[in-house]
Amino acid sequence: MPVNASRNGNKIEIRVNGRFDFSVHREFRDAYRDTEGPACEYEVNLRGVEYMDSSALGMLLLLREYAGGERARIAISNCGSEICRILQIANFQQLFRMS
Amino acid sequence: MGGELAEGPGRAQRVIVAEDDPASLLLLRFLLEKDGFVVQAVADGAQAVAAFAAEPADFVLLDISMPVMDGYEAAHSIKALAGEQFVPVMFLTAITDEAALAQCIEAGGDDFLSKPYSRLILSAKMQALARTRDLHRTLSAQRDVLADYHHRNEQSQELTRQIFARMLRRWPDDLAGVRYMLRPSERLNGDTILLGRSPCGRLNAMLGDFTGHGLSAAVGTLPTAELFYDMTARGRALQDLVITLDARLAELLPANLFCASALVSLDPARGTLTVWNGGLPDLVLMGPAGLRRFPSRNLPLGIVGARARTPQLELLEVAAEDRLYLFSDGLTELRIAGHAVGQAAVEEIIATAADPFQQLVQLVESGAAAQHDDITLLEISATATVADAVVAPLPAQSDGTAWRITLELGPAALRQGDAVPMVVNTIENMQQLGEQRSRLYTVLAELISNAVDHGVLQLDSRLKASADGFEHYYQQREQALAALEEGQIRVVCINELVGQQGGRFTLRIEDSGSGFDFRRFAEGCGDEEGRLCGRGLQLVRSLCERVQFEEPGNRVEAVIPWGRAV
Repeated sequence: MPVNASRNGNKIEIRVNGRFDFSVHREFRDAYRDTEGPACEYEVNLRGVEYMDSSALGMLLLLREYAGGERARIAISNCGSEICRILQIANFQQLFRMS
Repeated sequence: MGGELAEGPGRAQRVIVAEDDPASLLLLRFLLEKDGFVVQAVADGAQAVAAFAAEPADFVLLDISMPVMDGYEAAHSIKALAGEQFVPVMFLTAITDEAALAQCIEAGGDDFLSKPYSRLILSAKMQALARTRDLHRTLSAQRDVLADYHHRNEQSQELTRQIFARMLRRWPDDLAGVRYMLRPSERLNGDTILLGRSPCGRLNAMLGDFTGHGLSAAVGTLPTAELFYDMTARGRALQDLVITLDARLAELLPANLFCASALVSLDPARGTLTVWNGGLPDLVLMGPAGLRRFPSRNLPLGIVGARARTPQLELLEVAAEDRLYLFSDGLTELRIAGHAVGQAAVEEIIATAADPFQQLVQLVESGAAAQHDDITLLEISATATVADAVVAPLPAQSDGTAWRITLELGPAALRQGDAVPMVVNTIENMQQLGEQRSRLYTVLAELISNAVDHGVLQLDSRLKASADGFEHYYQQREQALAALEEGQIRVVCINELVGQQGGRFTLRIEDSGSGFDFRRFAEGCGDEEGRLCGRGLQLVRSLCERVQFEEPGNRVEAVIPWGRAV
């Protein structure tokens, strides 16, 4: 599965594997669409991601909007150096917690 | 069973049967008619072809060995007559040799029936052939629908592309020192380049890369271009452009669409460059002083719900030989021989190639087969646009009458920045300025910024003598402006008519400061002061008929002739 989600209380972990691009947008959306948005804490674990593009950045923004925009509690974890670079170029550290 | 095969209730299926043995022919006709087919029986291949040519059948059954024309040849002709239509052909044969049976299929047959004929097998095979034919028809119909859709889609995309091209590409034809490459991965480009010249001769440039590619990405370029060109024509500062574009795109675009972009503003007259990077790969400046990068320090434009942030701009002095390179990540992520090009390789080319732009274009062409994102490259030379906008002769036509306006700007108005466009716009309300606009603009910009910086804010222009001090100067300026409580500038503009087709603008600018030692500048020692100060006044002198300071140095009068009075 390219996207897996697990839940522990109000903590939702979404793990993405392989290519993080438009091809997984439905799975990524499915991973959080039954959760309670601002009431939850999200962790997007990118350990298994080999490649990501700007549509993935867009998907992260959609999650952020779903989780309450400025109030959202979202951490992005386990980025490889290439993935980190893409997130940094877009300055996403201003929008998400990087861990 | 025939009912199942028939298409619709009314029409029975037609079968042509060619068989030179009358007994076999009789049996086949009997079996097929029992299943509800209409049978046309003929005795050889040539007759079968003639019958099909006269009226195409739904199925053709052919004996292999027949007089006049054998089954293989007849099958070939009938398939040719049928063209795009799929007409199942079944061979009738007593042969059981596997090679001969395989030849039936090679000859264009769709199946074969071995003698002696069994009713059950004949029925089953006819049914199977009918199914294959129906599938073929469905697929053909769907293919036609798709082809038609594709064709219409191509047409409207092409139309859209032409409209986009006109809306996006509005830069002046005489824009020298700028080269660019746009290589969309589809017909419509999600990357865009915008270039415009501000009234005082500054070159504003933007490279934008919208999320994704194709139409959904390209659609965001339109409002961006509208705002960019409008604000550039009004001479608005780069910072304002960034803030306005960001707000507008956040309002228009859905949450997952945004625009990674960089905006730069080059002032060739002063040799300064302002850079803003939000989400693009590092911009690269290459020149005599080596290579310098401008990494992304900002969020991309148009992110919904991002708290308003102060744009992080970089201001620097550029040498005439400097060249700035902007590119979308389509370039650094282009895969050549299985590997992404990468920022380092791009920088290597910029630092070492005799003509980096050409070399990068070649690099992209060599990897064109693997392109999956829009690729855009922009090269701006520090001497781009030169000063032709500034020194252009003033036009003769004007129906302006004499008038005089006075503007007084206090701390709040000065903090808002952009006093210059405000003044120019006010004057323009009085009189169409046309080409005179840029000269007036430059002179006003220089004199007003002098009055604000050195008069009201009391900044020392010698700070600008070094590159570090240059940045420091602008920081100080920002702080002083934010803290400003009193002080003002007064701008007076008088338009006098001289003769029938000309006149002169007299600009008087006065500030609340204590004045400066204008005599030193009058003697032309601006040059020795270093390259970063004193240049403004030289520029003003070159554009005006007369520039005169008055004691104690907080008042200046500049005269610009226009029309026949030039």
